[in-house]
Amino acid sequence: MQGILQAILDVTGVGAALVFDSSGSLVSHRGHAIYDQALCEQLTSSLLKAIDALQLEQEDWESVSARYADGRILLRNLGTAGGGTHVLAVAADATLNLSFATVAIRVAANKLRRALGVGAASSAPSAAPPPAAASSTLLAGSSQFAGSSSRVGGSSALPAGSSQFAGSSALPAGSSALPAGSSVLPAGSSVMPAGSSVLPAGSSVLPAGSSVLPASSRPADSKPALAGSSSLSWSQTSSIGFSRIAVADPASSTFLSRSAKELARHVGPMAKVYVEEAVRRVSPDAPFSVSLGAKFLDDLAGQIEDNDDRTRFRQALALAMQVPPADHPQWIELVRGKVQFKPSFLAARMFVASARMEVGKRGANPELIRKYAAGLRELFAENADSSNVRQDLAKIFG
Amino acid sequence: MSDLKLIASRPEVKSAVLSDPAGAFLDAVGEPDGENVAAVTGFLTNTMVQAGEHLGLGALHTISFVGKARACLVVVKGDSIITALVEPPTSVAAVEKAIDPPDGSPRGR
Repeated sequence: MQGILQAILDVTGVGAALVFDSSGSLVSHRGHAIYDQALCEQLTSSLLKAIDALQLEQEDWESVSARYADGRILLRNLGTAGGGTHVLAVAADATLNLSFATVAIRVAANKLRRALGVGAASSAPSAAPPPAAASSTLLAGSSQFAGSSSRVGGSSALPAGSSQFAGSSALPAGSSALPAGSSVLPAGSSVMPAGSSVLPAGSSVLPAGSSVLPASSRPADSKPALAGSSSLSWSQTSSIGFSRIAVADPASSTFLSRSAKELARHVGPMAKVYVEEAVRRVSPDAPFSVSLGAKFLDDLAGQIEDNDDRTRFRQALALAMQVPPADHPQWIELVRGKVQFKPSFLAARMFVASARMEVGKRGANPELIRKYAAGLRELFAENADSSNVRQDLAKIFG
Repeated sequence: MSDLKLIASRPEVKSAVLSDPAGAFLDAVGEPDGENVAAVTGFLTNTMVQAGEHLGLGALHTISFVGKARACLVVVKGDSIITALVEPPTSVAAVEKAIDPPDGSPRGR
């Protein structure tokens, strides 16, 4: 499968190609160094939510193309195999040669279907998604990728010219439009850790970046933790993986994760590298503590060239940090449905509906409730610059 | 003529909905369930903006998704979102080119 994805990666402008399934698991990925596994899993989490939503409008979707100012995200429905639907995602920058990419993606999709065993199965009715996947979907009542047999049938055979990816002819297997090595890899990206998985499969219920547990619910451990060194390390507390950085406590790791995510809005996936470097500069000898936050943010903001962006970065972080911690009783009450409040922020409304359904279905499991409360808090923190979010926060917390 | 009516006047566009990024319905042409479309589109746009932010792709301009019989085009213009249902699906690229001028003001955060 790696070879198939490499053929897509060889096309000019393509930064990463990945395959994920309906449970949110990253099946395979290939990308330049900055597009490591942690980033691809973050991306998968967002794309999964997007696919859930678009299926409400179009169950038989075959391809998706999202065009941004500086690049594209292309998705291709690979059909159903082994009880779950697979999707090929391609991330590209503005230099993408769309024609070549179209052909390479079509060729790769056909090969991936064979590799995944989709071909024959795709004409059969869709199997129900695994219970975990179905129950963890963000959209209340819509199981991930669950579709009718017509959708599955449709996804198996892509009629020529039926999508914007339609190309004139298929290239030979593994062929690439341009020579390999046309990398968009920024200088210095070699310091990125590879394969630092941070999100458990099926974590799509939480917004990208949300903690598995709220920081404050974890035991206050004064012992410095080496990020990324174990499955219980800093990386578990955030969706942004770091390595070789010691943090003083979970609150500090949450702070770093939030900073990296906010910075990523302005500088892209290099944000993690900048955060690691800033931590080393600010706290070279001791584990990083949130008490060094101001100095750290000054250093980090220096990585943003544009003055307006720098100001927005600072404001967004300030707003995010004002969101009450995940162990605040109001989050818990919201998730449990004890507070009858309907957020005006659409994503939060959907999250709350989904969380209440899950909590109602599985009983008042404190761990589950804390998980949803942390996810909800993270959703608000991520969108703290939105007027709807600010309005909701004021109503919830007074 | 408003943007929405202009878009809906294209023969390939079967219906069009105007909404805002929070999922609120503003107006529709040829779409009986505009509120539902607006909510779904709002959520979809938010998650795709989020996906783009992970990769540093900048402001979101358009999303198009294509099926067997029809396609859907979502155009983000400032604080409004236009969702157009396109038939046949092969026309989506032409419609996108027609309704999303290069100097448009995309949404971004």
